[in-house]
Amino acid sequence: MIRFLIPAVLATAIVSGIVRLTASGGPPADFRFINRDSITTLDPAAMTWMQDIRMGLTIWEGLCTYDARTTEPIPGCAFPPEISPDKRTYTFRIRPEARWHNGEPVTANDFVYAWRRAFEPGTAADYACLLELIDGVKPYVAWRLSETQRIAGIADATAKRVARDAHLAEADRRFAETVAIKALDDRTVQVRLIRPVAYFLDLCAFSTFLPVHTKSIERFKTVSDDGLIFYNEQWVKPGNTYYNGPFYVTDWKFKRHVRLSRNPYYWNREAVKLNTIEMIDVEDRNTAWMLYSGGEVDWLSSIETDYAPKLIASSCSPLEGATNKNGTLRNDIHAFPAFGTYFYVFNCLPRLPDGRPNPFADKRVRKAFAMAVDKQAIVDQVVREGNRVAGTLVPLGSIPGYPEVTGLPHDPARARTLLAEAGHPDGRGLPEIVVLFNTGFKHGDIAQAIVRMWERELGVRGRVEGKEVKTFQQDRKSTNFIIARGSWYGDYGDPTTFLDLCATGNGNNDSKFSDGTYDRMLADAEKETDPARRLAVLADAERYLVNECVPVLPLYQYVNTFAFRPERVKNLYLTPRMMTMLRAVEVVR
Amino acid sequence: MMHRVASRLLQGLVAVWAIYTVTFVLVIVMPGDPFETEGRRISPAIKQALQQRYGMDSNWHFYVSYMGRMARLDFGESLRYRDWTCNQIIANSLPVSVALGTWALFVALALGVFFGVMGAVHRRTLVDYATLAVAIIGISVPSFVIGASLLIVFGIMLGWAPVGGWGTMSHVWLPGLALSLPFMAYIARLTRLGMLDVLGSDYIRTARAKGLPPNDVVWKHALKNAFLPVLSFLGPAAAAILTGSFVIEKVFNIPGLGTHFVQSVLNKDRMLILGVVVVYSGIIVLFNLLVDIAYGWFDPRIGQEGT
Amino acid sequence: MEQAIPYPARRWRTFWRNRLAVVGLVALAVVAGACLVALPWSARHYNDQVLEAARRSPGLAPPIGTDILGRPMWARCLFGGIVSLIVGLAAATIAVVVGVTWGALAGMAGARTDAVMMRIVDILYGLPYILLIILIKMAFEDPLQTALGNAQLANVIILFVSIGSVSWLTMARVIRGQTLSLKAQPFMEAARALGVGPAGILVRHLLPNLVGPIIVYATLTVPQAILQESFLSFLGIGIQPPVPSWGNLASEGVTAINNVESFWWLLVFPCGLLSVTLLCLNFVGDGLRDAFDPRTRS
Repeated sequence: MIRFLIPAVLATAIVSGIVRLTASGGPPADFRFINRDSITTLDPAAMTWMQDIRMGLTIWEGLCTYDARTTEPIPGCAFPPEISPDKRTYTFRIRPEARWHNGEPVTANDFVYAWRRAFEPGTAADYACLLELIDGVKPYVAWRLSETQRIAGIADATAKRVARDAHLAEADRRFAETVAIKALDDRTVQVRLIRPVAYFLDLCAFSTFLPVHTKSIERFKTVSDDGLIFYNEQWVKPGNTYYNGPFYVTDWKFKRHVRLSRNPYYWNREAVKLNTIEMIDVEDRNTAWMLYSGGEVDWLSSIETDYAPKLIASSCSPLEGATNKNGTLRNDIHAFPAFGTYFYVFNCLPRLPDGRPNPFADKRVRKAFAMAVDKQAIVDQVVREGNRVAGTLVPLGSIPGYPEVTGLPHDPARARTLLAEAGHPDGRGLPEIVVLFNTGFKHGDIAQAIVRMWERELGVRGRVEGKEVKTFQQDRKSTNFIIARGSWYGDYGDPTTFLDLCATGNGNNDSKFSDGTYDRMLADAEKETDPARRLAVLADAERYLVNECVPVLPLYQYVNTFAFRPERVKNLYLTPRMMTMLRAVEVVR
Repeated sequence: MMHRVASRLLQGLVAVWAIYTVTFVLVIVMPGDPFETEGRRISPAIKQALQQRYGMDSNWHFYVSYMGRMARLDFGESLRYRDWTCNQIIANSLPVSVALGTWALFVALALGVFFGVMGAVHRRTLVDYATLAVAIIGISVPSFVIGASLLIVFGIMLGWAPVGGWGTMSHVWLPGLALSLPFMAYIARLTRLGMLDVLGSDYIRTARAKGLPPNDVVWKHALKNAFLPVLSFLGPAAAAILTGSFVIEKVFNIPGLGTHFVQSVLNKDRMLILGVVVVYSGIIVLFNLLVDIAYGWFDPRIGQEGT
Repeated sequence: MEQAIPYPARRWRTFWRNRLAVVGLVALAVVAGACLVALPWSARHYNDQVLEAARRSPGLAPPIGTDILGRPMWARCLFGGIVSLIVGLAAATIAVVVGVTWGALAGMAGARTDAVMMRIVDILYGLPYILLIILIKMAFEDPLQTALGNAQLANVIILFVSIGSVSWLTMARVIRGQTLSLKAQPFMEAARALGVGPAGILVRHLLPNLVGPIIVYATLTVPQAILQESFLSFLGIGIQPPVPSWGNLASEGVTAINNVESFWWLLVFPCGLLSVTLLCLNFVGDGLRDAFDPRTRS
């Protein structure tokens, strides 16, 4: 037996040693939570996923920030701005107490640098389009792109370098003179927009507009041969940069956790109750629930398992905004409507990807397919989270002052008539309808149910096609589909965040839908100076879009589900927009 | 001996290079653009700049330059997780998988041999049937079912183990057990068969007749001879444990390398795929070399042959 | 030549005497038989969605409950069995064809070719198979779909092709070993002396003697292939819904293992059928190996 013990002890010792070395380490944090998904990046300019934005808003703070309860924009590390009478120029004064977590003051240049970085072509930021609202940005970017392309064509290395350096100097000059973002002095930022934008303060709170610590990030800057500016992404890591938000990053282990500590120099630090936060990265949703259920995390920010509906139904949430109020067994599951819509996208091009004529180019066909779906059945039997059926893109009641718009009804008989009118009675002449979705969650189940409905009501042939998310996104982007699933969470509190999706040429218009009347209505809205009139015009546009044009088929409004014990975790609000501000959270022991 | 080791190492290096090439070809053939991000489209100028930056503008150039980088143990950057280099990702997750795999292999070996011997010596008793039960579960139930069941029984209902995660030995024993079951089953079977063979041989009968203590007969003499097939199974077993771990790692939320085998391909993360494959093959080559040396120690006849 | 009973018959006798193997074979026949017999009905009903009847537990109708879209579990399990068995058998067939060809050629050829060919097998052993399967699948599934015009067929084909292409290695090794030992036998020398060409040797003398190990390892490859499909389904890249397979039914059903709400029939039935089939295949394979493998003949 002793011969056996030696290798046993040896093995245990080795393994134990490796485990300790690779352990996440540290005492348990005040507040532990599981985010919606793994962190993709912490670079504010590159963030598009909600879980990343949530972290970004916790470790940095922009000129504005979001109110924890209402997600309305409130002053952040700057005082409320002076707005010019024509509503196009905003002048922000940064608070003197606004500091990075090493004590250095936040300067205006930190914002100018960060915003310039966000729209510089080298950064390839997904949300760079938001900055095009600023005067001079769009022509500057176009000029940069064409110049770097020209320089790329120069064969001789020396000539290329000379041209590049000249171009970079010219770029700095152009930026200073034509782009309307200026640091008037150390603490004043002035911005001029191309037209009045009602929601600009909302944008100033968004992740793309966060500042960076200029001195730190400069060390990671490289310039390509053509003149494009790149940054080594390691700049984001703790130790390489500084953070100005309520918390700063102390440790980030890939796919494991992010640890935050209270920022001692945050200007509003008296309001921050927590000392340490740990965000734990869990991939499997079942395991995530079990971690919460076992008491190892304080907050689970989404429960996407099959038994979520039962949890929601058995829980009576005492919190404001929760939709589940009838359960009797527990009180820690909180379901609430989210500022996001789940919809299907029709290919609106004249031809399908394989060259055949596209039946969905005819809006009567799109309308017919839309009216044949029993959305209530999908919501009640497949999704089962108490979602509200959606007839429109903009979630009902989500924007104060926005008139109510009704979409198409569920009317299979009318759908059949329309389909016959369009030349496809009983589904004749239609190709096999393929619904594209990304594997995971219930997308496949929803797709199968809807295809069945179309087969039954309209007599078409259909099937579903599940692809993994990156391939799916590429196919969506290049309109390589017949019908694809889609979803959109609003980025800012204005209907245009949804309605722009269907504008001609919009970067996210995957259906390639194009209608002059709709574009004109959107442009008219932008010319309106009276906010109420503007919202009415936008509502008209949406009414026209979802009832006449139907490039997308809205299905339901997203429901988010938080799990946390309300007697323990305070000030965690159920906001439809997922900007959960952790600075307000308090944990009662 | 040294000559054998050296020549095996050289062959291993060639093997790793061959694996790199095969994987490289498959990665290039795979449709899809590694630079398309999830959101908006990027302009061709930027794409070209990015390609240049990562050395991917020409396939041949990429092949050669990446080989050079690997020789310096630089496995490149991840295209999906832009904030992390492949070295950081691999350095973070490899030790975790190695620790989990070592523990699983050890448990599979120890318990497998134990059950196998007991089953052979005490035929048709409770122990034999217990071995049979373990073997049945190990080879016929998919590991995600075993893992999820163990997690809920020992993690939630009994509370004997933390619900997934990583940091102490208590996080290791349950997933290690789940991972080891199929291999434990196979090793138990191999050992049992081998022992039954050896126990009936003249050599053992002589030993018993000579009056050697029965425990020694079984555990020292018989086992040593019956162990050879188990030893030759260890090489492929280590390989399989290291790859098969992705299911267990997903269920138990363990930050190991297994997830990257799958995710890197699904993400079309070229350099991470190649880096992970090369590191993995390198480990397998090393492990096979160790098994080779151990083989020579167990059976001196083999050590004297040529390569 | 001592035995009175002819050689092949003796080996089959050994097999039939192995009770475990016989029980396995019978159970296998029952399961496969049930799946086949039910095929006309299960093929029609496996995608019958009745949303209002979703998640019904086992009872009178339908017999073993419904899944989350209201589809009858009996049809899905039985049709899934057909799909899983097809994947397993097809993958094993590919493994046999490639492995036998490779191994026999290596064994028959000279020392240098043999060494190179087996070195390649060693190298391929060192590749993480799951990565290869996914790479092959991703590289070739779309072209195949365009060529065939049917996505579900392409999905199944690419699955067993990719699983088969990583499963032939053991077969190659075993066959090569067998070929080497057969090569040294007197009857082979006699055939060569008589002037039989290499093709003739291969087909008429070698292959009949290899049938034993081929059957054994083919039977043992099938359960491996079915298991691998279940792992791929767990990752979402196996057999695509609505086509069921035991693997994707089991991975859909694994969320039944939780402490909130358990639709146990979604897991127990597919996993049960899967496990029984895998076990039986392993028992039968073991029995065949005991009977046919020359090494265990005493």
